[in-house]
Amino acid sequence: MRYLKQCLLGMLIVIVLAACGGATPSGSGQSGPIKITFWYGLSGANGNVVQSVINKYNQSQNKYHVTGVFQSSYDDTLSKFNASIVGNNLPNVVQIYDIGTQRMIDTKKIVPVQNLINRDHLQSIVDDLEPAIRSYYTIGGTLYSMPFNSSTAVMYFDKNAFRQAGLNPDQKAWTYDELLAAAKKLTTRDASGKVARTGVALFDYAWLFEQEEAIQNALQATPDNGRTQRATKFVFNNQAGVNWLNFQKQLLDEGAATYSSSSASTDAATAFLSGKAAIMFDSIASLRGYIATAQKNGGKVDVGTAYMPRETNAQGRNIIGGASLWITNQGTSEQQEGAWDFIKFAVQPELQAYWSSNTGYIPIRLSTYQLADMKATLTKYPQFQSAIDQIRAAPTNYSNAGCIAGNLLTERNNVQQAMDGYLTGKISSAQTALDQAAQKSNSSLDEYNSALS
Amino acid sequence: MKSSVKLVRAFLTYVVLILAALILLFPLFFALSVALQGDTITPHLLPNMANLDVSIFVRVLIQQPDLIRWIINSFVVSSLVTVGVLITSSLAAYAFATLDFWGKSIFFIIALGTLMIPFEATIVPNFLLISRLGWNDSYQALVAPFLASGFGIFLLRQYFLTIPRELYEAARLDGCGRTRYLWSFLVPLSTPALATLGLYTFLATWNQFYWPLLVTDTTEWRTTQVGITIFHSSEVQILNMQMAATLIILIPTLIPLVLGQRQLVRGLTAGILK
Repeated sequence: MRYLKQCLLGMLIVIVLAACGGATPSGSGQSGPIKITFWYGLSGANGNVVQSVINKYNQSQNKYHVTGVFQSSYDDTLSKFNASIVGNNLPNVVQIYDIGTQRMIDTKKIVPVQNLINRDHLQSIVDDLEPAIRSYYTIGGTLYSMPFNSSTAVMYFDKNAFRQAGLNPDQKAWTYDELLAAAKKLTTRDASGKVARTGVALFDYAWLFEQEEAIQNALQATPDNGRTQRATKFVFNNQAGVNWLNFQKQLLDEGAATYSSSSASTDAATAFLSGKAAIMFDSIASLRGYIATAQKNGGKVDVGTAYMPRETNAQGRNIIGGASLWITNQGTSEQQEGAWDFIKFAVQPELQAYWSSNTGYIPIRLSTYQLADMKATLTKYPQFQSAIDQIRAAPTNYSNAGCIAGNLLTERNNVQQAMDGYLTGKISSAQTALDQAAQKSNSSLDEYNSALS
Repeated sequence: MKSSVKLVRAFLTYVVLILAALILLFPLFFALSVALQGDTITPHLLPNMANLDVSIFVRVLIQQPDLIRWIINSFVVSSLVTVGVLITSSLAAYAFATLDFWGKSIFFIIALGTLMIPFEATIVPNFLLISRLGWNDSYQALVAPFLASGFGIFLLRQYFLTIPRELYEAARLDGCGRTRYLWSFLVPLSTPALATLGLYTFLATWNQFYWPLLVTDTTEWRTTQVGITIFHSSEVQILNMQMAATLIILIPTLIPLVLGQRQLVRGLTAGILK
């Protein structure tokens, strides 16, 4: 109590000092490399690789210096970007996920990468991009953002379980009927009749729904999935979608699968890696994590990959997912040049080999596959091949290039609600569930589109 | 006979209390267990005691040396906001409880009304203000919007009202000034309420996520809640680093709890001996 006045005075001094220390000095002049700000949303081990890519770039030249700022998650990066538009402190380069594409275009704060490619006559880079990856980020003939980390969905399965059940572990593509039969064979029970290992561990993720529609060559939205003009109506409540939902319901009804209402693969992955499920569907980017954990658990699960299951006679291919790099029209023209320079560095084949070898994402350049690094990675992880083969399995069309719309996050939530309702028995028909989701998504899309006009 | 009954009762009380403690502390134990099990997607409930990965805590600090800076940032911001809220709330509550002025009830209802406004509704105006003032990446941006709290005003006003008015009148008769009354009488008598408000504000500010994410652009200025998201594994659910980081940042929050604990307990038991 006695020293309280002194304490308060001390605190006041601290506050004043902090205020002075916090203000950034302005007008200090541009001596030294030009500063580029890069926001990214990859965390954990992959985030560290992003940081090392940034460090490699900074060490490779003196003109620009890129500062990478981690923004918690893909959702938070986009959310913060939208908020920062009003505050006018946008970064120069930003990593935004696939479903944020239409939103980024609509902010009108970006410079399409195509402009810079045309200006610098670098069409060779675009021609060298993996066609499936290039097709996702090209809308109306313009490549808006440069793909950075791409992945696709695969079917993970336990090769040991397949051999035990007398199934062929080398079969690449399974149809719904084949997989249903296989799942029934893979379901084992213990002495008391309880299920010891189930066939498939399902979970509620709309990305897998989108993959299945693309494999079935079905559009998610019209016109043309939003790729020739702005999407005005969702049509994912089609036969392909109903087929996927019915397939999952059949697996559950025949006791050959378990279902988790989460959109994260955690429950399914845990079941798969502890030998309680023989099959699950997830992104190829999880491959290394799964192999490492399977080995840690004693190697009982031999992780294999195959194509996503499909209807007999399905002619399409998978969509890619992930994130891409966007250049903003923020900052000086030198900073925009620096942003472009950094992106060109990040898509060099050698760097893509380094990137893919350390993260498990699909390299975006075709010429990467000829480099020794990449070949060594493919030898070490032969399961990776299923992902590459899947995205090359059919020619590109609007259905498998991916859907572009402003409210995809909401739409995914609606689809996930519909799937959950149907698979838990609350909604009796898959068509009804999807129709409800389409209706909700359409009204949300109308809101989004009218807010822009 | 009687002493053995007492012994049994004491024993049972201890058993019940230990069980309750275990249940409450279970999440912390589990976090520790997951942190020590190495890079795996399928952690078990209890770790394999033979190979505990104790190095994870060091690895966390090596991977993100800024973690210490984040803890300091969160601590400074939470402390400043707590002090600010205590000062503004006690001044306002004193005015509402003791003084009489025109429009007192109107102002009080407005102050209460601010409790109805969710923080998300005021994010955009606050953010615009911070951007225009150029306060990005600074302590002011993290502290300024939260220096006054409708909840604090309400809590302290209610507590001040329980202190008898006769005390105020007696002090005034003896020539005590109004400010001196607040400083020398009300505040010492209200330490339980002040400690409660202080602890609540500290923890609420410590746990803020969205606002620090918006106004900080560089790693050095981040706070703990935003900062530890960097340990979240992006493609697979490998939790050990995240758990280790969470446990590390938990420690500074225990400090105000330990300091304020005696006051808190006094506050909880204050009415009993009246």
